[in-house]
Amino acid sequence: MKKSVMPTKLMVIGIGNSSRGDDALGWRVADLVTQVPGIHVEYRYQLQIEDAELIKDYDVVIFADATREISLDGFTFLPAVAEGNVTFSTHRLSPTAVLSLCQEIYGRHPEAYILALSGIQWDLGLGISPVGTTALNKANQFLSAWIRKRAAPNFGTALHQLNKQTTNLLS
Amino acid sequence: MSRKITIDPVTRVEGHGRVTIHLDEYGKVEDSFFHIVEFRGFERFIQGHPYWEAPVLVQRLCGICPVSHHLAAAKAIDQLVGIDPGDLAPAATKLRRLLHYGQIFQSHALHFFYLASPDLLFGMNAPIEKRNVMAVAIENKELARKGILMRKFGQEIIKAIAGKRIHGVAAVPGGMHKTLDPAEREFFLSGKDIPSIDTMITWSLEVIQFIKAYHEKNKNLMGTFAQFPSGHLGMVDAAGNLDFYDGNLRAIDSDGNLTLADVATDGYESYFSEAVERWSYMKFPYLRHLGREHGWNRVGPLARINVCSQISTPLAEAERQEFFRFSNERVNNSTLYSHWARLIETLHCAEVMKQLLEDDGIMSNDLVRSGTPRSKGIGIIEAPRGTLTHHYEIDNRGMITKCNLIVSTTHNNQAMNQAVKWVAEHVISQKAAITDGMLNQVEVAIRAYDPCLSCATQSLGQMTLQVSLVDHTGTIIDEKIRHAN
Repeated sequence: MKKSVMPTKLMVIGIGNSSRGDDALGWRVADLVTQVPGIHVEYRYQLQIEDAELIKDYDVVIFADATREISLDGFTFLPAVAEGNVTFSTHRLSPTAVLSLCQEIYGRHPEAYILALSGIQWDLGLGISPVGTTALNKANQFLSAWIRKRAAPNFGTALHQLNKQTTNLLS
Repeated sequence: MSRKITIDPVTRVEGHGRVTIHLDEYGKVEDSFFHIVEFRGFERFIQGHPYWEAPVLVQRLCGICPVSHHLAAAKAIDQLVGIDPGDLAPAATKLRRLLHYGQIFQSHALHFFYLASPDLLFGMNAPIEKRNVMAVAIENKELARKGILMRKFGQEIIKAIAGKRIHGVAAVPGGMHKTLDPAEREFFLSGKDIPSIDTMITWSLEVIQFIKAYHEKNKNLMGTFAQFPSGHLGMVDAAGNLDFYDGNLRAIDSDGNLTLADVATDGYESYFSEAVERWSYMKFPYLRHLGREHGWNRVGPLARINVCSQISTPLAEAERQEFFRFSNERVNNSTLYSHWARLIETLHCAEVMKQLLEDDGIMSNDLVRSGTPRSKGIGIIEAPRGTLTHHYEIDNRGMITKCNLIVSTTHNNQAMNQAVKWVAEHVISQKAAITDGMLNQVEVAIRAYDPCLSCATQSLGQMTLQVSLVDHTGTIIDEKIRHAN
């Protein structure tokens, strides 16, 4: 008998700045996912303290952001762990700090992942680099499969649409 | 052997800043500098774009106060379509004010709860693992929860007016894109979905009690830490009231004497010059008639509280009067009092938001006006961190040919350098060892000005804290690097 899958409350938070080259990668992931029914999408320049309140009722949260670190696949997708030992920060918070704050104040935090896409150019007015484009393409293929596997069945048909949109956006 | 201590980047400020303290062979401070990367690149970037894109594009300047840039640009662009602030439709002015005061409310809440409260709750010499918002959440959950919800309230105001939190369309040339509908208004007044505006006023009063209690225990520290004379600059309305959205520029010296007597904002070029220093990308604005040495001003909450004659809302005005009774001075020149001033402004924002939300006129659909086009527009507002100037000129096709921005942090450049110098001379000079606590005091001095250096790209894995000791030959003799979380 096929195991029933409970609907999952899933949020994707794209972090970055669309005017600064590959810093737009997080938002481009959010752009792609925003068409998928049932997935809540948010855009951020950076994470802030109130995002702890935002994520508290979700089952799964994916933080998508650009990184200067170049990975073999163009992206990494790793679990985000709430870390209480936050030593310092700027106005922004890291995903792990948001999770930790959520846990501390609301007594729980969602399962969370960081989708980090490799980029190489960050200046104002630049578009996404070829390196960033490759990363976005690969990350999206991965994310589609991951969501299909992990999240509710109702995402299935929408993900075909997502893949189609990816092709259109990247072409 | 002389040493150089570098803090790079300064923590809990936006983007990248760096502090360098030069010590001589005896450990005495020779000099100190606060270096900042300025975003001049944006002024070039926007040239060639049509003027109507400016209010949208400038939001990408800064992830911390995009609304401030949006509104300063909008005020300038209004003039390009022939509309001065007084010509704007009343509902448009009210909506812009609500948007602006909501933005300042949430920005000040962020600064207090996230950036300042760790220093106030745990002390400047507390272990580094305690100097952050997480420790605040662990030890004072209620304070942290209220901080988050105050932030959220301001963000929801922005979302309601601009359509969304990021890249929303609020102001358009000559007015506003949309009005506030009754349901949106009720959301903030009723308290059913989020804590109401009345709760925001109550909580704002509570955090002022918090800072007053802190002051009671730490009067000497607050009065002396990074205390130095300076000019103060801010915007006031025709009656001398504190005003964040529109008015005249007023400046005073450290004794309260007027140095700029309520001049119209569109004449800023006649009054201000910007100096450059070889060691910083950021300019140093000053009043022309007083010169580079004596003409610089602090901006932001402390400066604004110092320059205004009064505050138009009753609770904030009562707190302003108490502020000056406590500090017992006509003009307050002590850096740490910025925190108290910021909280008085937070309360003022909550009171103004309540007035605007209860005003039926804010729901009018009469939102856009137009006049005779011009080729130059100057928009000045009081952003959370201080006076913000946007200046645009266009050609006959409407394309931007010139853009000049003077941001709050630029005005505070000299003040932050003075604050760093104070700490270097009073805390670090001639000490046998440099401790984390000492270095934190440098940052405390800078953080009080809430600098926003957000030209830097915000991507994962970028932020580190680097402390280097370099001798006079340039050799690093000690270095500490803290990786961001």
